[in-house]
Amino acid sequence: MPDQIPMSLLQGTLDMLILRTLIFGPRHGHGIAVAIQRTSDDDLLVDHGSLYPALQRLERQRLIKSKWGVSNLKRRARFYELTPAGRRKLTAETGKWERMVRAIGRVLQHPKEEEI
Amino acid sequence: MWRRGRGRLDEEVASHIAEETADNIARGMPPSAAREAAMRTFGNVEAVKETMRERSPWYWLDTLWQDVCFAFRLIARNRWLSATIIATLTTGIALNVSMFSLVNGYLLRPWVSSEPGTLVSVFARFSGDYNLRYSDGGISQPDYARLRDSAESLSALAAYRLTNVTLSGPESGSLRAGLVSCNLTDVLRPAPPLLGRYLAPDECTLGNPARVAVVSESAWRTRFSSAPDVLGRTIHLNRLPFTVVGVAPSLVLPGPGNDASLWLPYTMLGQLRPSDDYFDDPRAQWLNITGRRKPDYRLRQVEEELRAIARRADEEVPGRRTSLTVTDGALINDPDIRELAPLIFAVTLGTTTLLLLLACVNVTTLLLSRSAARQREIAVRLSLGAGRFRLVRQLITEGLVLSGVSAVFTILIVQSGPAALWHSTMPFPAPFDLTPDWRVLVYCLAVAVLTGVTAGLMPSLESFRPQVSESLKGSSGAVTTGPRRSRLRNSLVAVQVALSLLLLVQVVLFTKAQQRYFSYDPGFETHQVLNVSFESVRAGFAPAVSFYEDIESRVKAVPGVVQTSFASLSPWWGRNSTTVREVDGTPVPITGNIDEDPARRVVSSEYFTTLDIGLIRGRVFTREELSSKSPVVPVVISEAMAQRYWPGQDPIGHQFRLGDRRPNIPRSPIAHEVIGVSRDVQSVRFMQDDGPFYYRPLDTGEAKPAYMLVRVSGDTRFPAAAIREIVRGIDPQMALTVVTLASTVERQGEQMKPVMMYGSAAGVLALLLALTGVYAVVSFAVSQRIREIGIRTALGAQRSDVIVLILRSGAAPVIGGLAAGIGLSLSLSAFMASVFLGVNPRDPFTLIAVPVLLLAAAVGAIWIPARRAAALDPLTSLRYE
Repeated sequence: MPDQIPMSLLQGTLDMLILRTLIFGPRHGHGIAVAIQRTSDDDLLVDHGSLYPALQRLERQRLIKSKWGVSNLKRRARFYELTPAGRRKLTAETGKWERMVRAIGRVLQHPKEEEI
Repeated sequence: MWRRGRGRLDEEVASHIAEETADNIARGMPPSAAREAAMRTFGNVEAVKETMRERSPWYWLDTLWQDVCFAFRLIARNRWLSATIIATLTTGIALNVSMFSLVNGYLLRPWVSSEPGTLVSVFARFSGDYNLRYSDGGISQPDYARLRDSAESLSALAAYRLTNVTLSGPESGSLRAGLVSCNLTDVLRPAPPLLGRYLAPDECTLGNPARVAVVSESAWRTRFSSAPDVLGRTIHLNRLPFTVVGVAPSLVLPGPGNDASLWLPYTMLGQLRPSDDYFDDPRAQWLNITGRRKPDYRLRQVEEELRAIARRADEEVPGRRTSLTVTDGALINDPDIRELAPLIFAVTLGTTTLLLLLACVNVTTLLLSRSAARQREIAVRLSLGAGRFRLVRQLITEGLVLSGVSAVFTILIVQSGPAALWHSTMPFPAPFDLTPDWRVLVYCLAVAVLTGVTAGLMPSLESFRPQVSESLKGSSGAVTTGPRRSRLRNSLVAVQVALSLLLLVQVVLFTKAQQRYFSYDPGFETHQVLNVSFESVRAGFAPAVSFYEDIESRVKAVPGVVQTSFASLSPWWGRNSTTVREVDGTPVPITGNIDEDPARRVVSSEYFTTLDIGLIRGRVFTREELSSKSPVVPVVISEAMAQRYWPGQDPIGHQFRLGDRRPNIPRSPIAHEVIGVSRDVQSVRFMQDDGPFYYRPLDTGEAKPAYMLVRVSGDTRFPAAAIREIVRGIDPQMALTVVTLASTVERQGEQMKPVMMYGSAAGVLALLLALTGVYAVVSFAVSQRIREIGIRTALGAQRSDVIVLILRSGAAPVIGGLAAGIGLSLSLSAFMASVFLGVNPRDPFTLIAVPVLLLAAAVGAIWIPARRAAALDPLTSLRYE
């Protein structure tokens, strides 16, 4: 994958991606990383490491909670799951995000057309 | 906890990498490459861990631990510096906390050692219009009995009253006795008696004929020479026989100055004072009360209950309104003492806090010199991205670690320090508990934190001033120190010098005040005059006229006795005030303050020759005039009185009349005619002129004087013993004390000794601290200016030039501090004049000699580093970094 240029994630975007990934049930850190990569067709690449501070932040905000579990490899791993607050936050943020994407899209597209 | 947090993260990361590796292998990578790729995908593991740790709630603790470890490493590295700092801080903090411990025992805790938590003290205030007979802030016996018998919330309520009784016999004299209710031991729960027992309950029933006394250990040792067979012995108190039933280690009653030598049943009041028996008079409020509450009642509930009982009692005494206050027995809650508390705190903790401040300034100076040496380290840390807050915190942590170590030492010292402090200055053991309690620990902690933060913060403020790049370049700034930076250090030295000068001036004034008692000349003879005080007469006993006649004739026959005389009061025993209403037939306005009116002393004619008080004009009264019943009383007045009423005239033959202070009451018909004028002396209070004063003739037959003054020549001991013998021969029950007037004065001086010793110790400590401060600052300045000195020497400066250079720069703040200290002493002189009686607080000698001595000592402290600087080899110092 070194030939790909990873998109840097906007502040707050990663949080939302994590919350969205967890909507289908508890996952451990690696699972979340893989899921983000897969659902975004490998376009959004993160250093897997940067996931953990985000997880820590979300947990402190009580949007997710975690407990120890056993992974597919029979290793102890920490499993994260959405809390009701996290679910509400995700719904609210998704709406906001979509409005923002539309707005940014319009801003970015118009000047391009004029330049051409 | 934070350790566990770290373990969790490690495990989670390891698990993540294992998963990714497995995925990679599944994608067909060889195992070694798979793990490597997994690591790459993860990114910088340590950076992630670091980020997370910084955000963890335990992060501050984690880094605090680092800071503390770092501080301890620094302490270990600069061992001598750290030892100096810790010693300085420990001295300052331990002294302060020890003093607080004393104040705590005295003021903040009840004066009982066993179960202080349930003690209660009851204070009564009465208002309203009723016929009060006697009041001393206490309550009457019927009121006490009512409270004791009806209060549900109390398990015991005891009453006591301190009084003076006379002890007859070979060891006769006046003793402090507690008239106590026999259940007092239930409330105070004192240590078990050394011999015998305390009072038994039935000994406090009125009409019980048994007269019993419990003697304190110290009285047992001094008055009964520790006789083991003292139990059952009969002693005469106020000329009444009492049986000793016990010897107790301490008979202190709660409150200051209540160290009784005896406990007697309070029902004995009537027998001890037959003329003035107010034992069960409801209008005589003479008893102090203290009790124990039942554990399931709170102080408020006790107070409410007692107030309700008092209200019912008020209904029976028309016009009276009682307001009761119930406290936990701590002196600070005593309504009378509460107002004094700020003063007590200021006086006791003032000096120690001043000393702590000095110590703190010193530590700041020392840390400052170190922080300057650490300038580069801090600059490196800043440039590597350390947060300034984090750095300040680290420096404060260092200060706190230092003061924390001192606090630990302090807690060790304070276990026995305050008792030792008390013991070194007081002749008797502390009457209150001195073991440190939570208040002392909290105080110690607060003082340590404040000191640590102050000591750590001041140098850290300085550390951030230099530009990072400049300090990194190293030696560039080291040619000479910037004026702004040395200003802080110099002003610290000035503050130290000023404060220690203030303390030393106080010590000198205090020493002078004390010395005055040993070379005191009140204007009359003191060394060759025995003051014979008939304690039984002072206590109310009236001897027959023949007693005085017998004594006078027999004492006069004792070899060495020159003259004898009687007086209503002997010198310094008090003041009998009068009110002059009329002078030479003209009314005079009543003065606002009774102390402005003339004082009177009733004396026999020989009083003047006995004490060697000379007459300026006229004559003294004759023996015949002593007992004459003439309506015109001949008097001798003092010069000050002559000045007051007959300025510029000869007062002989003039008359004045006395009267009441209330103008509506007519003046007395008796006229006083001046027959002589005597020199002014100081016979009312030590170190104070008597002011207007007159002597009137004393008729021993009628006045029953309590004092006889005996002028002796040569050794005073033999006549003193002979007088005791003669008095015992005439009346074996007469209690008396025989001392020279001079020894009374000296005892006053002795009493000042503890305070003076304490003051001197504080002054010397302050001086030492200030000198260390001066030395530290100058040494540091020299080390900073080594390159400059090298250049100067290379350019031809002589050794003496270098010494002068260092001396001048080092002495400047000292001189500034001395000037400030003199100013401070002068501005406090009014206050000092009130403390140091008879000493001029603006005494030019003190205000010059002390600063000069201090300056000399400071020059000595500067001299050492200055010589070191002068001895430097210019080549080495130029290379010095």
